[in-house]
Amino acid sequence: MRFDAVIIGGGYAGCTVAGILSDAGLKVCVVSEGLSLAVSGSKTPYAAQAALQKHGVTVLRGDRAMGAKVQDGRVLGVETRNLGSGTILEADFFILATGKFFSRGLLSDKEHIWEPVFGADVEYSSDRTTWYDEDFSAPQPFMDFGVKTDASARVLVDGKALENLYAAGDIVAKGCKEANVTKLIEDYARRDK
Amino acid sequence: MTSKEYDVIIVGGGITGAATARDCALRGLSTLLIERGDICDGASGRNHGLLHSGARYAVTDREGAEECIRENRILRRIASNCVEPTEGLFISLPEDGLDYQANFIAKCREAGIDAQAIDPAEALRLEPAINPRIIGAVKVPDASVDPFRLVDAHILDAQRHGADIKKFTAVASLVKEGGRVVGVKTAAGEVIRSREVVLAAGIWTAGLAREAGVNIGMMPSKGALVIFGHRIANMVINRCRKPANADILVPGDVVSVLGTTSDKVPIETCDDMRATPAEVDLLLREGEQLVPSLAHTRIIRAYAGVRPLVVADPAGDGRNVSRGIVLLDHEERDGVPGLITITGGKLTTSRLMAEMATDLVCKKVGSSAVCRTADLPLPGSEGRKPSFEDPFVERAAIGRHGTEVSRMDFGKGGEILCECEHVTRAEIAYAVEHFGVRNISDLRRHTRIGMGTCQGSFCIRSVATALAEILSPDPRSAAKLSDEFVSQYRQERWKGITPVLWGDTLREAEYMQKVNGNEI
Amino acid sequence: MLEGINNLEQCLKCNLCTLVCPMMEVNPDYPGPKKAGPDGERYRLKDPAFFDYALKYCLNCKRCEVACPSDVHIGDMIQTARILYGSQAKRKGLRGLRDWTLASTDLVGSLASPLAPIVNGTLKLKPVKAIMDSVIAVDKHRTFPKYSAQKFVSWFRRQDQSSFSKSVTYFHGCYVNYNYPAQGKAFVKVMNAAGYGVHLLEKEKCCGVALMSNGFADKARKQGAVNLASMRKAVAAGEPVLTTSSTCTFTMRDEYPDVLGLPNSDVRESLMLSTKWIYEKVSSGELKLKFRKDFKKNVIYHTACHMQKMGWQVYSIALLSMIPGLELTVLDQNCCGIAGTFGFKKENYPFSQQIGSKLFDDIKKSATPDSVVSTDCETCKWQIEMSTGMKVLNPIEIIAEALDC
Repeated sequence: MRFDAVIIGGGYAGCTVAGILSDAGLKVCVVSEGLSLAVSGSKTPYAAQAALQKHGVTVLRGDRAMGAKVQDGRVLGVETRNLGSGTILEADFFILATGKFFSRGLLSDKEHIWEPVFGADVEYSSDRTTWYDEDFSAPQPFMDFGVKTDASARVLVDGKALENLYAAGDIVAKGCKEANVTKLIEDYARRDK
Repeated sequence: MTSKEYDVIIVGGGITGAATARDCALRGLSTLLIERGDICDGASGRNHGLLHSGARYAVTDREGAEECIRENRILRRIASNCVEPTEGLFISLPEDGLDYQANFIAKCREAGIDAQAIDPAEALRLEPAINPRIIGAVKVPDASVDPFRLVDAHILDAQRHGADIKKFTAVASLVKEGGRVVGVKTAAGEVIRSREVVLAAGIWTAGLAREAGVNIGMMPSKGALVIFGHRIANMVINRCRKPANADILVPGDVVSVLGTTSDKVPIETCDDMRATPAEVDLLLREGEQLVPSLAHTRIIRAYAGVRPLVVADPAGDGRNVSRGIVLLDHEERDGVPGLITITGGKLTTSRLMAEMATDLVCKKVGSSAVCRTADLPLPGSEGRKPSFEDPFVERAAIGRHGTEVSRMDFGKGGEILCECEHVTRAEIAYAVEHFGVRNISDLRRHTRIGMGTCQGSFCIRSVATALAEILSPDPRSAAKLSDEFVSQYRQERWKGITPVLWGDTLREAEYMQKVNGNEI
Repeated sequence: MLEGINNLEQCLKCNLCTLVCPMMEVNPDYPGPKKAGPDGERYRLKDPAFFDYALKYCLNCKRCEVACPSDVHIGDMIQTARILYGSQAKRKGLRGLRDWTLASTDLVGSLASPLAPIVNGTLKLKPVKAIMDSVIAVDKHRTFPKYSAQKFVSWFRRQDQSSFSKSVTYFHGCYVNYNYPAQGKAFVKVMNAAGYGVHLLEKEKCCGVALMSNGFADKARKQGAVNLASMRKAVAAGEPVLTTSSTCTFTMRDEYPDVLGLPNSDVRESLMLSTKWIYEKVSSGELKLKFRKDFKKNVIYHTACHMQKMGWQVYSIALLSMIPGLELTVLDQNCCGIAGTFGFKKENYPFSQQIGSKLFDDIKKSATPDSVVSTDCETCKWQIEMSTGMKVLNPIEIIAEALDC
């Protein structure tokens, strides 16, 4: 299935970016695993997604990106759990907005933290005592963890930025650049000329 | 209370003190149990929850093993709502060999422990989670015990037979008159007199005794444990080899507890015990040998307790009735009358320890009353188990408190507040009325609130509000109290979560941080 | 046991599932997905006495699973618990007979079909419905789908599919066979127009979804085993197994392994809804569909709950969008409330209707005098037709109608 942009993650950042891109006339797909803490309200938990769908955004609700086809530093497509290998989501650019640990944008075990869809670079120490502060009410280091991006908010994998993969929201490491949607729209509009 | 003189004051509200208070009260002695916190501040609140069959000690400590199996049978009978008759398995892996197993079975039988070798295939059928590489398995009468429930039941029984309980009251020093201990002085300066004082304060006993001029050599031995989110095995799983670290997995109500370690630590650390990430990693490495799925099973939290070990006293260490249990008659041993120490031992033999201590107290005060603790059932244990016919909201409370549920008003308080553990408003009201609680940590010990996988992250607000409303009728101070409860409880839970902060536990922590409003 | 599937410990108690449960909104006695699923499971592992009878209210819509950020198989946990522990609350007497009758679709269908005119006429009569209401507790408001005098398989036996060089296998399901062969005929028409012949499975039984939810798990397993064996033969012959019913598809792909413990990984990827298969073939250029230029239709598409769980509504929507002259409105996803046989039962009927009311309102708001509703689930179809009066067509019927051939 072909789109202009595929957004992986349908939480606060993902839906906001989807809305802006869709308003600018792009054909957008959002892959959203579960409800997000940020977006759900008590009466209309799916309100943001429903509004997007009314404006022509394809929302794959309850679906998860399993892996990506990357070639020569460019993301060609993403495979999802529900649609399977027969329907790869192809797009001109992709946005990673999968959130942090709660939403499983980042996974962890005793010693490692990693980003499961692209294997993006995550900065952390294998000494997990550096992940937290003993005082519950103090700022927690793990709340700042995320994927590294370059100055254009493109995601770094093995130190190199993927040409058409950007990141937005909680998934981005503190101190790294988050996707500038306006610039993305401008770049996209320019590319046809 | 200062004018009353008790026959006996027992210092320490762990299982040893509580069982001693019960025995003393049942024998008609005027009794006071005094405890600095709620209950189980020491080893009683931080152990494995294992009611030993004695099998683990059969090879090296025959007498200790015999004591265990006798007490095991007694507690199953008198504390049936605190004890779950899970039975246990001792599994042999190829590297353990089967020679140890053969000797193990023989020694168990000699000690009167019913040990049955079963086919490894049968063991795997009973417990599919155990290591499929096992070459042998032995079934023994291990069981699971809830120490908080056990202590509560003992204290309730003591009270119902006339004993007084003073919680949240620290003993600052023993009071001596003319070389004799005549009572205790609290941190607030109150003096309470008694004919005998029994120290049952675990690792803190030595400090109290020293001030009275009595030297007991005690060595704190730290044990770390890890709690998994659900019941992985229904039987206690042990390793059939020389006892070592991390070779027991115990089902505890709806969780599983893996332990333990054994390291000497300085006495100063005993008031703030925490499991370290290194200890957690060790426990998991060894535990995976017992049950491979532990490698990726969600861990709720890690904790550590300290065993009060008594070192041999070169000057003669008084009456050691058995190698494990230490009963010290300080009149005979140190020339300080009016003071007795009961320590060492295990949770499993606590009733026996209490019997020994109470026998000595009776001798000192001239009472000829006999011990009946082995025959009389504890409150709540008169055979009430939850059934499908009971209303759903009552079942968990019945499982925890047995017949005591008749004192809970589910009509008024049927709303479930802690959803992980099905704790209702009625159960909370019962706990406050019968046990006295200061905060949610105390409430937890009497009800299981916050002991589930979310560690209170979901329910804490409503529980705090409910508790604050009961403890403080004024709405404004109740609101403030509620906030204090939440922050105190969250910090306490955090202590147990940080050593295991990865995977789903890290996800839960992010949820806790966001819900608590820490993360904007 | 089903340890890997029933992953209760991944639950973080965030309660997002509780927010989307349709039953919770209308029934105060239902504890909700979190309590019925992972909370309850922890205690049930200790003692089956902790099974809550109120789990019978679960619709098995799986909306909880769709919302869960932790990938907990909440719905599966509840279904498995009902199968394992539900016998403690086995319904006896006439209600038990009712449940058995509603669940035994093959048996009832085979008996009713030859007598279709009589059966259909009788089931419509008010006195008959009143008797069913008071005696075996089938709600008197409920309309039964009509039985067809000629079964689909009887019609199909007379169709010559031998001239096609490539073929697909069709799992028709009970509804198409006993009640509404037109849907199956539409499927055959579309396949043939695309250049594919159609075969039936060597032996086909009801997918078993009604048996599962009414406490007849063993019978469901037996039927599932027959279906899987037949599918293996089809797959071995190089044919995909296509369907036109979303719930049958979901049941055989996911409920067979996750709830009934029937492994199906060797056939699962070859078993799919026909609209997914057609879309992928059209996307890759392997298949071309030619549509009439004069086709006009106003279609309101409803995503069935199991369709949302599979995530495959995108395919039905994409195909409908390809049809020129088709005005498509896609509704927000809401549960229709019938949940298969659940909504036929007198004690559940008010809940079903309350749950579906939002969907019915949305349909009425979007409807024009000549609109039709389209959905891939036949029980949604019965519910919508009865509750809104609107005609409901399966996407395959609309595609067949729009074909230029």
